[in-house]
Amino acid sequence: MTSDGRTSVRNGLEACLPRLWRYALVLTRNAPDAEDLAQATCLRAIERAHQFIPGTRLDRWLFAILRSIWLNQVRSERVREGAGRVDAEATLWIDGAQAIETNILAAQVFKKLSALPTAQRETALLVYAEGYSYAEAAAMLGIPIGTVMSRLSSVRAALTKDV
Amino acid sequence: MNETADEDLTALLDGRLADPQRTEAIRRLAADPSLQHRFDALAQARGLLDAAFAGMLADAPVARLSAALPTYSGPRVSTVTRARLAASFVIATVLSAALAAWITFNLGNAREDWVTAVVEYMQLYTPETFAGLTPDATQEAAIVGKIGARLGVGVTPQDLATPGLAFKTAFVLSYDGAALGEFVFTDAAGAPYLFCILTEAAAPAALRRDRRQSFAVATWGRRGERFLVIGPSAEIIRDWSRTLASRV
Repeated sequence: MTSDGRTSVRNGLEACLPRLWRYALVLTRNAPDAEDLAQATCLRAIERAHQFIPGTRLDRWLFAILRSIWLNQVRSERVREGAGRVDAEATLWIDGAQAIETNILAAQVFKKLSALPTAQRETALLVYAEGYSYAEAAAMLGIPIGTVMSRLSSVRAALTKDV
Repeated sequence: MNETADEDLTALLDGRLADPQRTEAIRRLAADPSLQHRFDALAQARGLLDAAFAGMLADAPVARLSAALPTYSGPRVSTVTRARLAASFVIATVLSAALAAWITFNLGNAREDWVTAVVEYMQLYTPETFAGLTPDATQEAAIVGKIGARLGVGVTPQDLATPGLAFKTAFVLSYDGAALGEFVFTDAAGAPYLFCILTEAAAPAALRRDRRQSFAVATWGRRGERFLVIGPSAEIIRDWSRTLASRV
């Protein structure tokens, strides 16, 4: 089983790269940081490939790793800064909007998304882009289903304004 | 409209509202035009989100991430430092490049994988993905011209036009280090159709139609570019590919 797990990770990792990067971008709102986070996730996945259970979903296993690394990074930042809080919300992700500068509407949506709290962006990504059910998203994020509903409605409400 | 009502409407839109709340929400929608208006607005947000998330996916630096993938060397017990990783990346990259060269030399059809990659992207799109995008003629000309210029291919909206499909957007991806342009169109039902150009040195290839997953596909090539059109209707793909092969 261990060997199969390694084979599954080795064979499936590359196909997941765009979605890993997107999840990383939603969390970091910064393309270079997203690339670092996606690469760190790949390394961790390969290191722990023997732990992957064949037949389960590789993409979700990778997402859990990515999220764990990101949370640890945020905690480390908090410790380093000693401020008890990382002002991630003050950082705008520019690169994504610039890359699609040919599309004004999409750029507006990017801007609105970037202004939302990380938790809301992450929940919307998991449910709307990655197809998690409310229950699966709640389990992944360690929150009640009601909080998932609340975050999703907040995201939709925010995007209905002025676009 | 209070927040609780927005949550119920969102859950209803997502197909996650259970009875009796679902029945009650539907009854209230039928009886309250302002609530229906709010429902429609929240529904529209989904299309915007889908477009934004699809855009992010299209921006992913796949070539760089792939190049940085280390080769598997068994379970590690210690945390790997960035400096050590950099060294292993260099070795892995050299090995990967040598392997890639060997594969390219020995397997002439390996580049057909780019069609598979596009098919995989295509499966991620829904009728809602590009629903919020409605460029006017000026914007379309600017987008098509800009993306064509990036690819080094002279194209105009008139070159790409075909009956029944409306232009939505275009962007450039990277496939195995080569620029991959995607021109996105949708039919009246919102189903996406793509015209893709992969810029690389390749032998000319005649127009060939195929079926991949649930999509009709047509491919052809000339020295310097490979072309692909993909979409759900075999008839549209047949006619569109003939038109594009003669115009572009």
